Order: sequence, then C-alpha cells, then structure tokens
Amino acid sequence: MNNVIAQLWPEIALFVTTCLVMVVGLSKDRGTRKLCAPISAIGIIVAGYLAATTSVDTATTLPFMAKYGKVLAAGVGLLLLMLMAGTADRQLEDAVDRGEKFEPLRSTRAEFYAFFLFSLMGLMLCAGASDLIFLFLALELTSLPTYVMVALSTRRDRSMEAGVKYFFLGAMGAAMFLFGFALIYGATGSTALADVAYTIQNRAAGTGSIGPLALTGLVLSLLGVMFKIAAVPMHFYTADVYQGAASSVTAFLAFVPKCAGFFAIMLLVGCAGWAFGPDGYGSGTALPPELRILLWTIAVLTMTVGNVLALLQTSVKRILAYSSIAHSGYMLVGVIAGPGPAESTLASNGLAAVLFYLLTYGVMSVGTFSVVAALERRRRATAADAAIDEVDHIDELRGLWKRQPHLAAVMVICALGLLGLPPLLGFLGKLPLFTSALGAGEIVLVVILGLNSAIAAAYYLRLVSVPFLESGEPSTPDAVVPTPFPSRALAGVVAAVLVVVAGLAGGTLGSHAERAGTFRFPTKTMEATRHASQPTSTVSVPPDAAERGPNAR
Amino acid sequence: MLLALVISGFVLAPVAPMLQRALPHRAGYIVALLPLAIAVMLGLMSAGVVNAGIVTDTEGGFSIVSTAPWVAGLGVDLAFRLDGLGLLMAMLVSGIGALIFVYAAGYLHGHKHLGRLYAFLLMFMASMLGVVLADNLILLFVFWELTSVSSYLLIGFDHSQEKSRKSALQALLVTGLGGLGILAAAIMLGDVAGTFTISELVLHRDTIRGHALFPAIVVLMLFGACTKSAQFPFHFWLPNAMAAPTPVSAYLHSSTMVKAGVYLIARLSPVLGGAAIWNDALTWIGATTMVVGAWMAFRQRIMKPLLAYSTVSALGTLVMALGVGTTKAVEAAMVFLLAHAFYKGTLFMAAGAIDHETGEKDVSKLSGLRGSMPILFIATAAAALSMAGLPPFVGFVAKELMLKGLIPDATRGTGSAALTTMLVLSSALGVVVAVRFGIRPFLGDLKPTPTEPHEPPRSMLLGPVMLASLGLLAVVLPGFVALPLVGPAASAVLHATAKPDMALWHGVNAALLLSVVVIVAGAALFAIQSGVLRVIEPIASRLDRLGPARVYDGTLWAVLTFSRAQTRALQSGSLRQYIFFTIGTAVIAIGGALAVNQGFSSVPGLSDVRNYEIGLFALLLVGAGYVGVAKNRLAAIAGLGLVGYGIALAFVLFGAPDLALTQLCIETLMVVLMVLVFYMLPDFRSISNNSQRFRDLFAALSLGAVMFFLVLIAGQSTPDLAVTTFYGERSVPDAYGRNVVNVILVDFRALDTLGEITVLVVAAVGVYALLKSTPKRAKHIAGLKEGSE
Repeated sequence: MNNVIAQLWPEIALFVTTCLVMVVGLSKDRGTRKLCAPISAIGIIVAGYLAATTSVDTATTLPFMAKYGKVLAAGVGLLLLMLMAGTADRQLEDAVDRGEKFEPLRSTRAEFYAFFLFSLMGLMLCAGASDLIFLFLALELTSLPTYVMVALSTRRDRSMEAGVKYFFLGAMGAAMFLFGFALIYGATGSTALADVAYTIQNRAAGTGSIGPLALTGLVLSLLGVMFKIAAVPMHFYTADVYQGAASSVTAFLAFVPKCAGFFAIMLLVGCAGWAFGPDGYGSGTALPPELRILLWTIAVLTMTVGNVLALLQTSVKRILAYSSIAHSGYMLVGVIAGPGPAESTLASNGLAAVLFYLLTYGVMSVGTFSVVAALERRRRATAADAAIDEVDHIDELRGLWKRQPHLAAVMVICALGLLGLPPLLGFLGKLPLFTSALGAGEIVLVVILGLNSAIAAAYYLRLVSVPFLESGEPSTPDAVVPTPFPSRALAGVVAAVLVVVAGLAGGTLGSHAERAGTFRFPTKTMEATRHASQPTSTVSVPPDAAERGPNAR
Repeated sequence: MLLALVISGFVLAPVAPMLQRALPHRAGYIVALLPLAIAVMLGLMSAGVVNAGIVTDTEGGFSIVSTAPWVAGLGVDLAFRLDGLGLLMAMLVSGIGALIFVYAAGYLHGHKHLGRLYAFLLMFMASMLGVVLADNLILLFVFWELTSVSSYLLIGFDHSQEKSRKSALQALLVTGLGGLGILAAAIMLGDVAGTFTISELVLHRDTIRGHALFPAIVVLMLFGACTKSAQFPFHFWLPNAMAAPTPVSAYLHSSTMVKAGVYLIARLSPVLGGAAIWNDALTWIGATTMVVGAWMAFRQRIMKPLLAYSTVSALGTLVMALGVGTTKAVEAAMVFLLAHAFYKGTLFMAAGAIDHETGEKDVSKLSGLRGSMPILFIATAAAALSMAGLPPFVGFVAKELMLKGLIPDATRGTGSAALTTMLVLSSALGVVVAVRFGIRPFLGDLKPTPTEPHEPPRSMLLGPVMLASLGLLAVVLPGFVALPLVGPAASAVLHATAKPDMALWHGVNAALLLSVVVIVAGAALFAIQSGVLRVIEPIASRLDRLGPARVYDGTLWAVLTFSRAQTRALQSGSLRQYIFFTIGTAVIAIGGALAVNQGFSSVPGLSDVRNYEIGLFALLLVGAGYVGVAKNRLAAIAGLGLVGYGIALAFVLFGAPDLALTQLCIETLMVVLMVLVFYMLPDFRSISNNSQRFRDLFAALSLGAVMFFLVLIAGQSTPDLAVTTFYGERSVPDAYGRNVVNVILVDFRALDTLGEITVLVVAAVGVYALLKSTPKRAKHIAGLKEGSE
C-alpha cells in the first residue's frame, strides 16, 4: 500500500493544485482569478519534478514507463497550458472589462483549469497503472474532463455538438474496454496487470493459445482504448471534434488522451505479448496471432485512412486531425514490433520507439496547433463588439510569413517535423519505428509505413508552403490578427526550437526512452511482490530497498 | 574538420539574405568565397598539406575520417569520410558552386529574392557535401532528403507561377519517394550487416550478398538512386524541373544533385556490386535512359529542356558504365562524370546567358550571335565540341574510354554489342544536339530577337569560360586537373588501383573508328534533321502521352479520388453512422479473433429448454422489438422497462433473488430518470427511413449474436476462486452475517460504501443546484445569443 502511494506523489501534487485552482478561479478580484494559470504551471512543474525523483516500482512488466510517462506528461502539459491562455471565460472577462459585474455562475475558468489538471493527472496515472481497475479509472479521469473542455472551449454550437459527439463515442469506448477488463478478470482471476500477464502467458506456454475468454477480453479492451488514440475505425469523432473545439483544446486532445491510450495499449498488449521470443506463438512474431492480425489491420488502416483523408481537407484543424490519426497508426507499428530481444536498444525496441515518438509527436503537434491558436479572425474592426472567429481555413494562413514570421517559422518547422524530414525531431522519432519493425520481421508493415510517409508529404507541404503565398482577397473586412495572448505563440516557438534542437541532439532523449521501454517478462516473483502490496492482503509489506529500480533516490 | 566543412553552408545560409540586403552588388561574390574556400581546403587536405589525419591504404586510395556522436541508441553518428570518390564529387559541388554564386549574382541581378536564392543554394551545397562525405547510411539519407527539399525550394523559387509550384512538388514527390526507398534499404542493410557505417559494409559483403533480404535491398537502393538521377522511367521530373532559375538548373540539375544517384551507386558498388541483379539492372536501365534521353533531346528546340534531356542521356550513360562494372568501364564513368560536369555546366550557363541577353529561348530562332557575344561563343563552342566528343576536349577522351569499356571482345557477353550500338546511336544524336545548341545559333546571319543581343556581364561569363577551359585543360594537362581526381575516385569504386589513361592518341583502333562513325553520323543527321523531325514528330508526340508522367498524374488523381470517395463514405458527420461502424468493428474484431482462436469450438451444448423459459424469452423479445417500432418516447421507455423487468425475472428463476431486487430498483430508477430527461427534449420525430432501420436491425442482431457466444464462452472458464472462498469462509466468523454480498458491502468494504454514498450525495447536491439555476442560465444563454447576432 505504501508502495503504491509512494508512486503517486506527482498526482497528489496535481490534485492539491486542482483544489487551489477551483477556489482561486472564482475569486471576485480579477488579479486573483488570473492566478489560475500560474498556479497550474507551478503544480505541473512540481509534479514533473516529483515524477523525476520518485522511486520506480519494479514489480511490473514496464517498470520504467511510469517515470518517463509522467515527466513527459508534465513537460508537454506545460506547453499545452501556455496554449490554453484565454480559452476560458474570454467574453466574460471582456464584459468585466467593460464594467459589468463578475458573475461566478457564468464563469468557467476554475472548472476549465481544474479539468485540464485532472486530465493531466489521469494521464500520469495511466503511465503508472499496475492494475486493471486503476487503469480504467485513470483512462476515464483522462477522458471525462476533455468532454467538458471541448464543450466549454468556445461559445459556438459547433463546440457543443463536438462535445456531445465526443462524449457519446467516448462513453461507448469506455463501455467496451470496461467490458473487456471484466472478461480479462474473468479469464485470469486477477486485476493486477502483472498477475494477468503471468497467468495468460503461463497458459499460453502450456496450451499454445491464450484462451478464448482472455482473448476476447483483450480484443474488446484494445478496441475500446483505440478510441483514445483515434485509430481507425474508432476515429470517427476525431475530425468533427478537433474542428469543433477551440484550437488550444484541440492540441490538448491530440496529445493527452492519445498518450494515455498508448500507455494503456502497451500495458494491455504486454499481458499477452512479446514473452516467448521471436517465435513465441508460432506466428513469427512474439504476439498471439489473433492480436497481431488485429493490431496489424488497425495500424495499416489507421495510417492509410488518416493520410488519405487529410489530402483533401481545407481546414487546418481537420488536416491536423487526420494527421494525428495517421501518427497513431505509425505508433501502433512500434507496439506490434514489441520490445525486441533482451538488452535491446532504441533501434530494436518498438516500445521505446513508441514512447520516444509520443514525445516527438507531442512537441510537434503542440507547435502546429499553436499557430492556429495564436491567430484569430476579427469580423468587425470596431473594438467593442468585434466578433472573433477561430482561424481554421488553410487560406487564412496565406501571407503569414510577411505578417508574423515567427508563427510561419513555427508552422514550417513543426509541419516538416511531422513529415519526418531529417534531421528534425520527427525523423528521429520515426527511425526507430522503422528499425524495430524490421527487426521484428514486419517488412510489409515497414513498406506501408514508408508509403504513408510519402503520401503525408503532400499535405504537410501544403501547410509548409501556404504561409509563403500571397494573401488573397485583401478587400474583405475580415482580418487575421494575432490573439492578445502572447503565451500561445511562445508555446509554438518553444516547440519549434525543441523540434530543431532536440533533433540535432536527440541522443539523450532517446536514451531515456530506451530505458522507459524496458519490458520485463512476467515472473513468479513479480506476481508475489504484487500480491504482497495488494490492498486485500492483511499485512502491507514495507517497500524494500532492493525492490526499487536502479535510479531510486 | 569535415563536419565543419559540411556545416559551414548551413551556418552561412540564414546570413546570406541579410548580406544581400547590406551589400546588394557584392553579396554573390562574398558568398562564393565559401565554396571556394571549401574546395581549396579539400584539395589541401587530400594532398596532405593540411594535416587532417589522412590514411593511405594499400590500393592507392586514401581516406580522411571524422566522427562525432549523434544518436547512439540508433547506431547513427555524424561520421564523415573523404576518399577519392568523395573528393571528386565534393570538388565538383564546391568548385562549380563558387562559379554558380557569381553567375547568379549577374543572372538575377536586382531580383528582390536574390538573397533567398543564395540561402537555398548554400543549403543545397551543404546538403550535397553531406551526401558525398557521409560515412553513415542514415546520415547520408538525412542529407539526401535535404538535397531534395532544397531542390524543391529552388525549383519553386518563382512560386507565383503555378507551373513552378507543380514542377517543384513533382520533383520532390518523385525524389522523396526514392529517398524513402533508400531509407528502407539502409535500415535493411544495417539490420543485415549490423552497422550503418558505409566503409565497414564492405567487410560484411558476403553476409549481405547471401541474405534473403539482398534482392529487396538492391531494388530499393536502385529505386532511390534512379529517381534522383532521373533514370527511365523516373526521368520525367527533370525536364519539368527546368522551371527553376538557370543557375539552379546549371548547378543542381546538371552537374551535382542529379549525380547523387550515380554517386550512391558508385559508393555501394563494392558492397552490392558483382551480383547479377545489381549489374544487369543498372546496365539496362542506364542504357535505356541513355537512348531515351538522347532521343527526347533530339526532338527539343527550347534550350533548357533540350539540355535537360541530354543530361538524362548522360546520366544513363554513367549508370550503364557503373552497371558494366569492369575496371575500364568504371574509369570511363569517372572521366565521363568530370567531363559532363564541365561541358554541361558551361552549356547551361550559356543557355541562361543567351536567354538573358536576347529574350529568346528557342534555338531555331537564334542565329548569328557570334558578333555580339564573341567570348560566350568561344566558351560555348568549346563545350559543345566536348559534348560532341571531338578532340582535343575531355569529352572526346571520355567517349573513347567509354567505347573501350564496351566494345565486344572475348571476355564480354553478347550484351556488349547491343550496348555499344546504343552508345553509338545516342552519341550521334548527342552530336546533333550539341551542334544545334552550342554552335548553330552563333553562326549565319543575325536574326532579330526580343531584345538587342550583347555580351553578357563578366559575372555571367566567368563560369562558362572557366569550365570550358577546364574541359580543355583536363586533356592538355591531365596530371594537373583530371588525374588527381579521377584516379582515386575510380580506385575507391573498384577497391583496386586504377589509373585512367587520358591520352588523346592511341593509334588507330576500334574505339577511334567508332568515334569517327559517331561524328559522321551526327553530322549527317544534323543536315537532315528538319526533315526527320517533320516526319516523326506527329507520331512521337502521340506516343509521349503514354509516358511515365501519365502514371504519375494518374497516381495522384487516383489517390485524390480515393480520398474524396472515402470522405463521402466515412466522414458524414452523422453520429448514428459512426456508432454503426463502431459496432460493426467490434463484431468483426471479436468474431474474427474467436474464429482464429477457434474459440467457437469451446461453446458447450445447450441444456433442455423449459416452457417458462420460452415464455420469458418471448416477453424479452416483445419488449425489445417494441422499442424499435415505438412511435413515441414514453412507449419506447416502457419497452425498455419490460426488457429490464424480464431480466430481473430471469435472475429470480436462476436463483439470484438479491440480484433481481437490485435489477428491479435500477430499472425503475432508470425509467423515472429517462422520463424526467425526456420531458426536456423536443418533440419525437422519426429520423430514419426503412433501409436505415434495416441496417440498424442488422447491426443490433450481429452484436447480439457475438454477445451470445461470448456469454457461452465466459461460462466455460474456471475463475480463480480465491477471493470468493475468502469471503465465504470469513463472512460468518468475522461479521456474523450469512448474506455474503451484504457483509461485503457493510462490513468488509464499509469504507468503500461510505465513500460511494458520499459521492452520490455530493452529486445529488450538484444536480439540485443545477436544476435550480437552469432557468436563469437559459435566460443568460439566450441573452448572449441575441447579443452575438
């Protein structure tokens, strides 16, 4: 029990911050209200620091993922927070500026930041989940706030529609993986992931099959989690929701639930996969054949559908939505490749590749979204009743190079990064996916991945070139102007700098991911340790120093 | 040191536009100093004057190595290596680069984006140096893609033109796709050999050659090289790339970037060469390209496409020679590479100069320019004669060597006769092209041109004159210009000492005779060219429409059409459709997984059915069916309630009364809640037609069927009973209760229950608050809406 709590200090820090934010956000004093964002930032930084320094629970199959995932969540979370500036309560605050009274009932600022932090907390919990129930709660804690954030993000009907769609489909996904978890429990008699893995793989070693019930459970849970990562055919909400939500929230959706989903997928697939060497189940890979077919099909569909659909879009956010789908497909390739042989490096460990790719994708997608988030379209020039629209159509970025060269540069760098152009960060992220999949013998998958990267070039290059084109229709009264929130643009600039610098000096980040992707085959000792720390047991075992990871402090 | 040389271009690139703004008339000359310095530095390093850790190996080659770490986990480091082949290419890149910057300063004098052009050119130069000096396959790929991108930027330099943008994208897609082929091949090579370091691959030659992936590696590698070097059938992007400003065409698309593919082939020849698939493929791809290119060039009258196709032909010749792969052929290829860079660079720059000074792009409308531009005439004519293969120019030597490498003898197969014929044919066509472009426009009477012709400025003459004289010097003083570059390069490719014989005269032999045949045939063809063209043009232009460019267009069209169709089919925005697809996926995934797993075989036989079970089942079915056809919400809720109570009844019948009680409570609550919610909804409307209803019925039935089997399978499993046993045993002694469920709720898990109750109370308070505030809030929202409209 103590052992479990010891892992949760980052989340506890976030929770404390959330409580603070909820109170502060309702203050009558404007200056105090505005403290929400700085307080959240401090909370995230503290949580990130705690995550980097807490001990590692070695009694799991992916012992080092928790630390990496939590620090990643804090890092990208900070960038996302910068992007969130001005998303909540903008009209309300403008009204207050004009001398109206502040009405707490109409204010959504406190909820908005609280939900932001809750969702981030859920992501951190996902990274450290060691139990099915834990995982379910963590996934839902990640997702539930996002439904509200989508609906709250703008005052347009479209946001409401997006929120409702997202909620219905998300609830369906949750129902699916909950049902799946129940079946897994039924098949193995345990909810602890290490136990589940041990039982399933023991059974598979004996009978050559993981059994129909465990299989169905895994299939259902994986399908459900596919909603989170927007994999085809669970991707339908993506484009509508991404377009409907405010750009800052869309950036959040593109990273946080996806990241949580991949943590969950790796934990779940780890229950049945990669345990018996390259010919474990006689299928040529280390995954059970049924799961391999499922993941393979989804990966191929996801990459291809995402990229092909993106080609025709004229909305920047829809392009990025489909691109986000495609990137999920790329990352599934790493899941299929698995952790590779023992002592594997970043080049041969598909899980490390996925974890590294999450980092690169997170940074690059924040960068691209920040460009649309940092711009807005004013329909009437008079300051008092200016109607403000989001920038979304790709032509609205025309001439950006002349007007806001820094934003244009962010778009160019981040879109080229997403394209995987060497030597930017995106290339470094994609390379281990290729190498690990090839190491696992998935040649066809590598070829499809390559072809998809080529298709993707067509639409990323549109994003790259459009800021340099002459701006059309100068006669319209609408004007695309920067938002009055400089931190949004700053988030983009930081992301773009990271894409370049981390691309050139990617070795360190890569080695962290390499370690985080370490996969331990489930063993009897692991199961025993886990039982010792189960809440159901009468005596809780104090954390033994020897059980901690090498970099415990 | 090598790293610094490569990086310097990237460092200077962002500065170039500022430099241009500060010194609008001199910036080009200043920027040109960088490539010049690099060329000098490379020369000094390779000569051992500057100590850079030069290593001389036994085969007469040399190498300078510099390594810095990058991503250790991926086996990728910043490894650079300068050897003979690298030196030849790097000297071309930096030397011609210096001339191009000077030329561009004159050609685009006063252009508002000249600074940007310098930046792109510098970026390209640095990337190209990276390609030819990289000693790590992944690093090579990195620079390879950077050359594609800088080429994209340069072709699309004039981005206000639709055609430029289209050509730029086409070049990028074709070469970029090829680049991905190289990446795939590189990763496979790394996987097979255990290293990405190019100079170490040779040691694993036999492992690589024997591996099952070898054919795939060769095919992908050749695909990449052939797209970059514009080999048939991927040659179509190169003539379109002529939309770029002429300095760019002269630099990238004749002398350097398009030779990257040739370079890669030469670089990997020691590793992959010698296998039939590698050599045969290269030989015949190259030969085909050579003939097709020469033929297409013969049909052109516009200067730049004419030169572009003739470049395609020359690249084909190079690839063919590397495919043949004998000592003589490789030596010939290296000499030809140098010769081609000299004369084609001159001709491109001359084309730009003529266009610049006369405003005319069609060679057939140019005549008698010798008087107005005498210096350019001499330089161009020298280059054209070199291209035609006349002594005493380096082109002659190159062609002699090439012929010697191909002419059939005892050691060569039957194919060499065909290759020789093809070479003679394309060379004869080349003679026509060279004369038509390089000599004819300067002779005869002066024809009027859009602008008054006059000698181009000195900046635009420097390049052609320098390169043309180098083409002469390479033969006159071979030990000074050509041999130090060509010899080590050939040695590096062959991994054996090579020393090309660059003498002009070897006595009368077969190669010389064939050379004479080429020139005579070319001259004859030149005399009758207008007649020939008039006859063939109608047929040939019809054939053009079937070319590979159509395949490219068709592919693009197909992808876009597919995309459009997919968007229409899948992305309708309708939530019901999304849910339908989701359910369908679940059914297929679970059903499929169970089928593969043979899980259906574990379904047990069913026990006998009792009468009241049939009654119950009928009740459930009626309830469910009624929900589907109900005409208002209340009726539908009632139907659902019927299903719920039916299930409760089933619990009672199968011995779980407490579950049944719970179910009854939940059902009642649900109905009440739903009625409450529905009270707020708008009027009920039927939103689906019959076919949609049929589809929904189908989805429901299939999901139901899958669930049916799932339940049966679940019943088969033997769960771990540890927890059950624990509570069963401890219930009475610890908690004095016989109903285990109740005991768990109120004793063992009392705190959990308390927590749940608390949550519910808090939620209820929240709901109450919301309900109370609703009318006010609604008024507010309405007010806001009015305000915004």
